[in-house]
Amino acid sequence: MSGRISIGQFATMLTAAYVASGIFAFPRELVAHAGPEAVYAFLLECLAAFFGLWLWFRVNRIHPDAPLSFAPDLLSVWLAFPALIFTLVLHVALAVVVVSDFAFVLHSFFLIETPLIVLQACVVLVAGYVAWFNLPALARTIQFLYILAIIVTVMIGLLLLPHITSVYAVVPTPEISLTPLLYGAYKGSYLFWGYELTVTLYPFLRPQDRAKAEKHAYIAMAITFLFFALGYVLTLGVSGPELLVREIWPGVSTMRLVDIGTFLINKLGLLLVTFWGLFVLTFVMSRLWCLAYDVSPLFRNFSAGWYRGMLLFFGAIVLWGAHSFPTPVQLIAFAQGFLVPTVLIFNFAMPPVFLLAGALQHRRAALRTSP
Amino acid sequence: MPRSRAANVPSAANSRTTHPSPRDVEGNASRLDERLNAYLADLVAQGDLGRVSGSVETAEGRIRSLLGSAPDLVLRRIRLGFAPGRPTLLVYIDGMTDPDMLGATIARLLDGGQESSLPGDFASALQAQLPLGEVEREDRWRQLFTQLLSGTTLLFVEGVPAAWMLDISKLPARGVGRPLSEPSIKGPQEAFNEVLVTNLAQIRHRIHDPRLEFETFRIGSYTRTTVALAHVQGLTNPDLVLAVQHRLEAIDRDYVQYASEISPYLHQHPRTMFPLIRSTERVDWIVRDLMNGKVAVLVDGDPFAFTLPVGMLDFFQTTQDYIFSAWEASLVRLVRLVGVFVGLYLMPLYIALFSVNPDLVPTKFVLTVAGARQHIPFPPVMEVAVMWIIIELLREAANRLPQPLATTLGTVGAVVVGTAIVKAGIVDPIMIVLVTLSAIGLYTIPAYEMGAAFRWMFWIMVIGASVVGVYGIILVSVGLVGYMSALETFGVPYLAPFAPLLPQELGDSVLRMPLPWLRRRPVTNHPLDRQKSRPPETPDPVNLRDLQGQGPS
Amino acid sequence: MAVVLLGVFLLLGGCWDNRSIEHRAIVLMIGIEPAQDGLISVYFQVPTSQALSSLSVSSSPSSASPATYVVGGVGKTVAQAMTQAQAKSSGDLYLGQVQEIVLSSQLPAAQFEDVLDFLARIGPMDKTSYVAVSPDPIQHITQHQPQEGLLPALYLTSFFSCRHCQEVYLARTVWDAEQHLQTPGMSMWLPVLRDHEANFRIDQAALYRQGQPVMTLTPEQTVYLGYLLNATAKASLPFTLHGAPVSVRALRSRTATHVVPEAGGVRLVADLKVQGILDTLPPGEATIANLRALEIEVSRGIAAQELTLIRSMQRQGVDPVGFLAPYLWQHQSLMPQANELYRNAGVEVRVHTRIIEVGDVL
Repeated sequence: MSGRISIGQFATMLTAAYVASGIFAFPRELVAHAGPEAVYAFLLECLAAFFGLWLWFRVNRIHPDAPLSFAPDLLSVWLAFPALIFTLVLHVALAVVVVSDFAFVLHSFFLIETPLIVLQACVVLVAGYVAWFNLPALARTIQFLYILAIIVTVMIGLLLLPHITSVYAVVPTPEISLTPLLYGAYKGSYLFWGYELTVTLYPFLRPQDRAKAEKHAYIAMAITFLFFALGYVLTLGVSGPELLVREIWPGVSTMRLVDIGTFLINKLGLLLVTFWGLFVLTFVMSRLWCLAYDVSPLFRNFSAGWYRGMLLFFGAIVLWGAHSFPTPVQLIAFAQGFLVPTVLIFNFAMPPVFLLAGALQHRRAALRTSP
Repeated sequence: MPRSRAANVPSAANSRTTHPSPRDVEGNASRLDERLNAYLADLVAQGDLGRVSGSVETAEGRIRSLLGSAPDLVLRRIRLGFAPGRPTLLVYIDGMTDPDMLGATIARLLDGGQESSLPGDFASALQAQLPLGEVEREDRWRQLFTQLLSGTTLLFVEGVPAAWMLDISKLPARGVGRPLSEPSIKGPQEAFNEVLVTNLAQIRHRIHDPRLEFETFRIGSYTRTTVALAHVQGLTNPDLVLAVQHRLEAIDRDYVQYASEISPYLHQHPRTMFPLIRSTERVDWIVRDLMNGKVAVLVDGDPFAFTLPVGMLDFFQTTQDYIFSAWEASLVRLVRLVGVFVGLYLMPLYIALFSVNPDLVPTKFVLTVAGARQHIPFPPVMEVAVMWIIIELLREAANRLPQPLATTLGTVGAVVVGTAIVKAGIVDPIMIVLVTLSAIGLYTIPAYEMGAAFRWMFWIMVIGASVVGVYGIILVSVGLVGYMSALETFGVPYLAPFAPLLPQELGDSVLRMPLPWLRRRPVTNHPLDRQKSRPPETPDPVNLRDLQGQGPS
Repeated sequence: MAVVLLGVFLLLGGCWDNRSIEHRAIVLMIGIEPAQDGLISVYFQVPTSQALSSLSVSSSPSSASPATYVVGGVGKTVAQAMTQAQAKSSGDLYLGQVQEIVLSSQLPAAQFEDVLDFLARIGPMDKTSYVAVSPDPIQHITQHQPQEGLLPALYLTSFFSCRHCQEVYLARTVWDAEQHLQTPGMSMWLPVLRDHEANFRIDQAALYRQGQPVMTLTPEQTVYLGYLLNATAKASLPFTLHGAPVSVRALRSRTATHVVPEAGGVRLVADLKVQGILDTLPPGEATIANLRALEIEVSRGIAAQELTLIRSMQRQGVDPVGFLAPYLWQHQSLMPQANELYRNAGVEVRVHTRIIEVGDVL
């Protein structure tokens, strides 16, 4: 699988790789645990995401032309192999959670009698189909769909403005207590799960584009931050904090209130939820691509055939994983209990290891070349 | 046609085995004998079977042996005015030669001074004697036969081991007509016709620049059809030209009649449902594309030419978009977009909204539709299928019938069938509205070939809608976008400038900005020169009233 | 080929959620009331097929046949009752288009909360459908045909969705009800729907405490509550000026409420900015001084009424305005004594009135 991607495609793909993980549940955990300090917890989360992305870009710069998901020459096989397994498990788990979550949303609001497995299979199949071609095609598709979804969401979301009743909940409190704030930020950190895709994606940038692409990725993250900030104001302002923390999918429940009686489809907000399927699909497509590509260093001749085989394999695993959650209750428990700490460890403990190994390698090379 | 016989092919290697009946054997044997003699003579004189020996006798024999029974073949011995001693043979195909020009040529050849009084060698002397026009010397039989059969007149003179090819052909052709398949309200009304030379002249007529280059290829081992590749040097990317050249040269077919027969050889997705070649009979379209850094391919005998590379957008644009004002052009383009959406999504949405997700629709609308459907025995999917089949039948029947009948059929079909089927209670009245809108919607696409792709997609959309409703429509759309994103011609993404997003190209996409703003050629074509126009220098406002002493104050 | 055929048959058969609209019994109104032995009765109002047919050919439904029919069921829970009702209907009871939910005011608190929980959990139920409470027998309400010729549920939808047709905008959606029920420092209120000979009558509000209606306001009180909620649009109130009766109409207000901490508690402050149109005034009295005096008179009158209303609500421990909600959100530690805080709070009502129109005569 070869092919380069443009700066814009890199930025959108990286962004699309994390939006879907948060859009449905946000900002339930923030409000539930941080209470009136939720705004600050949200800001902290965003800062942490910027920092995490910055760390991964540092790691990417060690070997900008090679995906570092499996880097035996950097970490030695004994460390590189567990790192790869960790990466694969994480990506699978993220895809599983997002697929499963979206299937529950559809099953609860739209397609009550359609079996869950059908809804999950639809997501995985379509995402796998788009990832089937090659990276440039995938990047183009994601660029197109993601931008469309963002625009539609913001446009329809703004229709919620008249429904805002709990303005008081949105206004930041002057008194800050640190513990709930930190705990809320920790629990709500799923908002930016997925930017670690850059580990695999970065080498596909043209060498001359890389510096600019990093900048664009930060800008895209800032835009996403604004997008979520709007989402925060709307969901919290419309639902009020007490109702919001009881809702499984606050964004969906809030969006359902949009009702334009004079239009052909009056429940535009509910329609929008199906549009959020685009976020889910782009998330799963980029993840499936990443999974299938991450294992490439293990094969001597990694052809398109192998890539597609791996795509099918991981697609099946994701589907199986997604289907193993009978209700959203188990899903939330899994995401909060297992994934939140795991992703945090991955994003903030792995890069230092890589960076240290990179520094050592660099030093060794310098010693060798010096007389 | 005797030429259809395998024996007519000059090269033995290309001949195909046929099985003549026993009574033909005798005739075949004598013809073979004749031909062998002719070949032998060439072989003796030239040492090469494929070249002209210089003997008129042999040449005549060879031509007769190959094309002897062709009723339109004319072999005429004449006596050159300035060299009466040299036997001369004029060969042409009747009906492909301009009789006036032929007469003039023969007259020129018949009179003239003494051979010895002419300067230089005989060959150049003769050349000077020949009429104006394209005259070439050729000694390879294969070339000569190809030329003869495409209308060139051959002149053999005893003692000259070559023949002159006089281009005094006049091919049967209709005049330059109007582009019936792509009519336009304003602007040029000129279409290509079946004669390549005319088509090339039409392009030349619009680009008076030596940098416009034509390169010709002969494709089809039987038809030897001339295919011309046009591009503008210094503008079109040479890599593109080279790539198209290679692909054209690599085409190995027995025959080529239509441009659409060679187009699948020029891109990498021959199986795709979506057209990757936009063919047109409009001269101005081809010129527009050439000026945008594309190459054009024209095929002799087909009034439809095409340009490369193309993206999805090309199928939604017409030359008229550049004739009208930016406002009108943008409006029309939006209408086409709406047309496609209506054609592709309206009926699937009906199924999705009224079978799977009725909660999305206003209550009164749901109740109205439920009321209309009270006594309909079939589900919406079935209704859609029935109506769509009726529409497709009417469409195809109207295509096959002569124009006046087609109009009648359309009206009768739409009105009578539409009314009757509602009265019969098979389909609800809303469906009639929807099916009409859908059918009209897809007709707004200027390029006919694109409609077919959407008509197929429509069915996939219907299936998606009826299984998982609106969500299914979105899934199919995502798959569709993914599929189209993967399509490329010569590295130009099909969905550009939307996927990949190229903001600088959006000025001439869904909307059409005022022409002075469109200063650059599409980057997707990678032209050598991107600048198309320079920003106008803001002129001093000229106010005619203020001009000295003129006009009323 | 076989796959294609199979697919076609599947499609035509209608799978999973694919159920054509005419095969669904489109429930437009749900009525819920308590039944004997702690059970619950649920009524589903569905338009008849004649009514639907007449809708599509744009003629009014014939008065001979009723436009709707009602299927009902009894059960321990709403879901159970619904299953029972489903057994009496040939079409699939479809809740995606429910317009109106009428709850009996006799529903005990526990059942009331069950009902709201059910409404919140059921996926296709629209959260923007209107809720009302009625003291009349619910079955009777659901069978009532308004004389305007509309389907009853559509009549109510038109009524509720028109913000400026009502004296007080009383529309409450399922969403509002849920939100009020969940938010500390805020009590739920619902419009009272009464069977009236021609149509329905909706001009009162019922105030709830913990799922139990504890106060039903008079129409007049409802207008004053409307001022606090920014929901009054068309009120017309009588006042006296220099002993002569005058009236001001289309009084509407913009109200801001907040809480001021005081020693040992809080003070509730309501700040009303009222605008009105002069309706009747003795001839020749329209002077600047008189208008000013009238404005003061109106402010005084409204303030007094509001104060009385708030005091009575305080006594009952209901706060539909949600005075305390923002304060409690910021001071979460006060949540447990929220009720005490409210009951003992001081009240301050500030009214500022402006007459913005006097009509065509001086």
